[in-house]
Amino acid sequence: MADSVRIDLSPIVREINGLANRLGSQISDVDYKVGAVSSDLQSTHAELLQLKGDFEEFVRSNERQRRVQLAETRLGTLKADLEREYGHYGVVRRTSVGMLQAFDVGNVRNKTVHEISEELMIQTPKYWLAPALVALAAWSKDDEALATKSVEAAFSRDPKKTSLFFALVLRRQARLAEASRWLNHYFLSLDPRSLTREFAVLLEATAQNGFGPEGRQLVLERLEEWREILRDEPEIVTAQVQKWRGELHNHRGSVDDSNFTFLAHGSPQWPQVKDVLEHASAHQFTIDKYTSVRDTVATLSSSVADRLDDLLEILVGEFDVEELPLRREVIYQEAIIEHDGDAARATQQAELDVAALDETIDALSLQTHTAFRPDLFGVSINTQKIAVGASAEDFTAAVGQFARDYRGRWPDAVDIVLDESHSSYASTYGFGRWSTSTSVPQDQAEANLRAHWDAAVQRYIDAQAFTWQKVIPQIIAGVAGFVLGFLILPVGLIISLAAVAIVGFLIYQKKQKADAAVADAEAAREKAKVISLDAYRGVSAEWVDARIVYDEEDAKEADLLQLVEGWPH
Amino acid sequence: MRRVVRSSDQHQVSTGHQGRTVDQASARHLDRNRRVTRTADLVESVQRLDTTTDPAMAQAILRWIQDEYDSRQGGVILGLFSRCYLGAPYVDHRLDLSGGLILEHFTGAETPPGPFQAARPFARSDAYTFIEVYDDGTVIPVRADGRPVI
Repeated sequence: MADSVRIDLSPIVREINGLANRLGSQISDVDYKVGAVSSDLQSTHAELLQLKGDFEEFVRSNERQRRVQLAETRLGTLKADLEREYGHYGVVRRTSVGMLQAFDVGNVRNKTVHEISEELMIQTPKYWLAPALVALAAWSKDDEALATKSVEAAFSRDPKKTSLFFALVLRRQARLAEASRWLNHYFLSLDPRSLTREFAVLLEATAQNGFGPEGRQLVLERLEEWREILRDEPEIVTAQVQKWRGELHNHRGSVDDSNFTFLAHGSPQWPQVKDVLEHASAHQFTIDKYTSVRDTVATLSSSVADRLDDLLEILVGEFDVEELPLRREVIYQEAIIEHDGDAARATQQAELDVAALDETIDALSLQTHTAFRPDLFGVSINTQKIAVGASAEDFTAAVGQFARDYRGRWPDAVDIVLDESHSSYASTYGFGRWSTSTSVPQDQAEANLRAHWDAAVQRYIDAQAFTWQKVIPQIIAGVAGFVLGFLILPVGLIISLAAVAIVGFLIYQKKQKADAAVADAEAAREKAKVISLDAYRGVSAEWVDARIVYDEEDAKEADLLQLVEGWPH
Repeated sequence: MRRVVRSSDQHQVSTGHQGRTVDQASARHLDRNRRVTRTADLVESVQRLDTTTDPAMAQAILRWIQDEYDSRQGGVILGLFSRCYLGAPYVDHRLDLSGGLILEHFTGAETPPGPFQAARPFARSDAYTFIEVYDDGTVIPVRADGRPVI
C-alpha cells in the first residue's frame, strides 16, 4: 500500500470555477435589472406626478363646464316658468299701449275696445292693469260712471302703478293739469327709504324729458330733497360705497398660471401675488365699461307720444312683484354662464345684482343700481349716465378704498423655494429644500444655490461610495467559508478557495457599482446646477414681470378717477 | 351719552382715556373731520420736511404740522409715515407727532414700530403722498391733492 491514492479533482475544480463564473454573471445580470427598474421607477414617478396634475386640472375644468350646462338648463326652465305663469300678462300689456295708439289713429270702434278690455278684465284676475284698461275704454266712450268705478278698482289693486299709469296716459293725451295731479298724488304716497321699483320709470322720464318742464322740475326737486335726507345717514352712504366696491370687485380679471409658470411653482406667496394682480386689473375693465356708457349716444325719438309709449311699456312690463322670485333665480344662473362656471365670482356678481330685485329699495340705492345694470329696471342708457354722474362721490370713495385695500397686500419681495420636485436631478440626488428671497442679490443667491448643490452631491457620494465597512458581512461569510474549508481537507480546500473567489467577486461588483454611482453623480452635478439655476432665474424674471404688470395696472386708478370726476352732466 | 361736549372732552373721549365706550356723536364728528381734504399747505410742508437739512427749521415745520392736526380735531394722531427720498438704504420715514416731534428713518430691513407697520405698503405706492396714523389704529393714506382715502 505504498501508492498514495491520487484523485483527480480537476473536473471538480473546473465545475466549481464554472459555477462561480455563472453565479457572478447572474448576479451582475440581476444587478443590472435592479438598476433598470430603479430608473424606470423614477421616470414613472415623474410621469405619475404629471398625470396627477393633469387629472386635477381636468376635474376642475369639467366641474366648471358641468355648472355652466346646468345653469343653461335651469335658465331655460326658469324662462319657461316665467312665460307660463305670467305670460298672460303680456297680452294685457300689449293691449294697453295698442289701445292708446288705436285712439290716436281713430280706426277702431269703441265697442271693440270696450269688449276687449272687458274680456281681459275677466281673464286676468287681481291684475291692476285690467281695470285700468276698462277705464280707458270707458273714457273713450264718455261713460263717466264706468270709468270712475274702474279707476277705483285699479287703484285699490295697486295705487302706485295706477297713479303713474294715468299720469303718463293723461300726459300723452295732452291733459297736462290732470297729469300733474296724478303725479303729485303718486309722490305723496312715496317713502324715500322704501320705494317700490316702478319709481325707476320716473328716473327714465326725467332722462327723456317725458313729463315736460313742470313735471321734470317737480321730479328733480323731490329727488334733491330725498338726496339731502338720505345722504345724512351714514349707513345709507356707506351702503352705496359698498355697492360700488362690489361693482369694481366684479370687474376683476383672471391671471392664468401658465403665464407665470416659474413663479407659480417657485414661490409660496404666489396666491397672494395673483390675487392682488387680479384686483389691480379691475381698474382697466371698469374704465372700459364706463367709457362705453359715457360715449354711447342713445337717440331719443322726436315724438313725445313715442317716448311716453316707451315709458308706459316699461311701467307695465317690468315691475310685477310676483315675478321677482323667478327673476332673481334667473340672475344667478346668468351669472354662472357669464363667468364660465366660476362659482365664487358668479355668486359675488349675482349678490350685487339681486339687490336690484328687492321688493322695496331706497332712492339712493335705486339710482346706484341703475348705474350698474339699467336693464334690471328696464331703463335706458340715458338714465344710466345720469345715475353715474349723481353717484360720482360714492364711486370715487369706492375706488379709493378698493385700491387702498389691495395695495396694502402687495408684497415687497417674495420667497423663492426650490424643492425636490423642480428637477429629476433634485429628486435623485437628495436636494432637499432651498429657499431664498427676491430681495437677496442675484449673485449671492446663485452662489448659495451652487453651494447647496455641492453639499447635496457630496452627501450622496458619501452615502454611495464604497467602503470596506459595507462589505463586512461578505467578508465574514468569506472568512467563515475559508475556515470551514480548511476543516474538511482536502476537498475543503476547494470550497474555501471557491468561497474566497465568490466573496471577492461580490465585493468587486459592489465596488464597481459604487464607483459608477459616484461617477454619475459627478457628471450630473454640473447639469443639475444648470437646471436649478435656470429655475431660480425663471422665478426671478417672472417676479420682475409681475411687478411691471402690477405697476401698470395700479397706475390706472388715476385714469379711472379722472373718468368719474370728468363725467358729463 | 353726552350730546354736548367741549373740544377738550372730545379729545379725551376719543383717545379712550375715560372709560371704554366712545361717544357716538363724536365718533361721527371725528369721521367727518377726517374726511376733509388736507390743505395744500399741509401736504407741501410734509414734503418739504424731507428736503430740510436745518434741524431748527425741521422742528418748526413739525410743530406747525402738529398744530394743524390738533386744530382739525380729527382725533389723536400718532404720526405721519411717508417714503424717504434720501436714497439708499433708507426707504421710508416716520414723523412722530405724539409729543416727541421726532423724525426717524428706516431701511428696508428694519421694521417700523407698531401701528406704522401697516402704513409701509402704502408708503411704497406712488399714489399716496403721506400716510396718517392715528392712535385708534386707523391708517389713512393721503393723496397729492390732499384727499384722504377713508
